Amino acid sequence: MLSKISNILEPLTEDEGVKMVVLYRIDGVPIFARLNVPKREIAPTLYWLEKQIKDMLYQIFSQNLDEASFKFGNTKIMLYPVSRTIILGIMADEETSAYKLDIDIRTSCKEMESLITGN
Amino acid sequence: MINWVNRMRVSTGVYGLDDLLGGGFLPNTINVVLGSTGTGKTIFSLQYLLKGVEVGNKSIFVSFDMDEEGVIKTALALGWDEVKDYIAEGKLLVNKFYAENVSYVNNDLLNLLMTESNKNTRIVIDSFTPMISSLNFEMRNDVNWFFNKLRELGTALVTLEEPLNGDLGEAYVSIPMFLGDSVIQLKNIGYGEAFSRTLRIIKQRGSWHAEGVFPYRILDGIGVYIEGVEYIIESKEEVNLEEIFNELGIKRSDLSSSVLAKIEKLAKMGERGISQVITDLLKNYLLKK
Repeated sequence: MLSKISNILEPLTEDEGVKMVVLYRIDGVPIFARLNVPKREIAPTLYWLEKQIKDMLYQIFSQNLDEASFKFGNTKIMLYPVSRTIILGIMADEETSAYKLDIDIRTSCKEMESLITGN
Repeated sequence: MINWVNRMRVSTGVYGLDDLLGGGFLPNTINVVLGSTGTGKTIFSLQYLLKGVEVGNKSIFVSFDMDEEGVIKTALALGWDEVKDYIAEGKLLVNKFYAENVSYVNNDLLNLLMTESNKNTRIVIDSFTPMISSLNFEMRNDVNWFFNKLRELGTALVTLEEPLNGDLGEAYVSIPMFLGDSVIQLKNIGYGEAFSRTLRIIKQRGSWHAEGVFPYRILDGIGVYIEGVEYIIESKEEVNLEEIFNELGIKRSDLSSSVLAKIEKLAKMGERGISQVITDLLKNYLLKK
C-alpha cells in the first residue's frame, strides 16, 4: 500500500518546487510523508501545520471543501481531500507552476482515492 | 521479507511486524500493545502465543475476561482450530483472573507465572489495564518491580486499553508505556478505508525499529497482517562509503577504528538519506576529532 502511494505521489515528490508531500488521516496522524528539503528548513511551518491540522481537516470535511490553502512568505501549503479519511498536503514554493502542480495533484488524488477506498 | 541474521529475537507471529522491529522482540522484555477497544489487541496477543507454541516455547495467556472456552471461541472464529489441541496438550495455558481480586503484586498471579515459566516462556497479560487502573504516579516502582519479575520469566506482551479520548497522560497508561521495552500502538478510526487500521511502533529499547504508520488488516486464518514491509525494503538506500570518502578527500585509514565502526553501522542501516547524513557527520564532527 505504502509503495503504491509512493509511486502515485512520485510526480509530486519529484517536482523541484515541492518541498513536502504528506498524507494526513482524519485524526491528524501523518500516514505518509516525503520531504524534498532538509527538515530544519520547513520545521517551523511543519510544526504549525501539525498543530492546526485536526481543525483544518474538520473544516474541510464538514464544509465539503475541494481544497484549502495557506501562504507563509514564499511557501504555499495546499490541502486536498482524497477520501472520507485522507487529505493530501503539499508544501511548495510560490514560484512553482500552479497549473502543472494542480493537474498533478488532482491526478494523484484520483488514483489514491481508488486505491484507498477500493472503488 | 528482510533477512535478519545473527540476532537473537523473539518472533512476534504477527505477519509483517518482525521486519518492522528489526527481527522481532528482544528476549526477556516487556512489550506493550496499546489500543482502544476493537483494534485487535487480543488477536495480536493470541498470534504471539501461537507462534510461541509453534517454535516450542511455553505460552501463557492471562486474561480478565476470557477463560479457556472464550479463547477457543475467539480462535475458532479466526480459523485457528489448533488452539483447542494446544490448550488440551498444555502447550498453551489459559488463566482467567477476576480483576476485582487482582493487583499487580497479586501472589496468585505471580506464583502461577513463576511456577509455569522458564526463561523462554511467552507471557501475555490481556489486558494489563484492570490491574493498574487505580494506579498513581507514586506506584511506578511497583510496576517496575513487576515488570522486572516478568522479564526474568520470559518475553511478555501486555496489552493496554487506550482511553477513547486519546489521553495517554493518565498514570495507568503512561507508566507501563514508559517502563515497557517496546510500545506498539494500534489504531482503528472505523471508516473501513485502507488506513482506518494502522500500527505504529512508538519505541523499542536497544533496537532499530521502523518509523511511520503502517496499515494493517485482520484476516480470517491469518490474524493481524501488516502492510508496508515492501516499502521499508524499497526505501533502503545503498551507501557507497568509498564514494563518500573520495568526495571528502579522505581514506579509510584516516579514520579511527571507532569512527569507522560507527560509519559502517550507519551505512548498513541503509535508511533513506543516510549517505548525506554520513557525509555531514564526517565533514562537520567526526573528522575534526
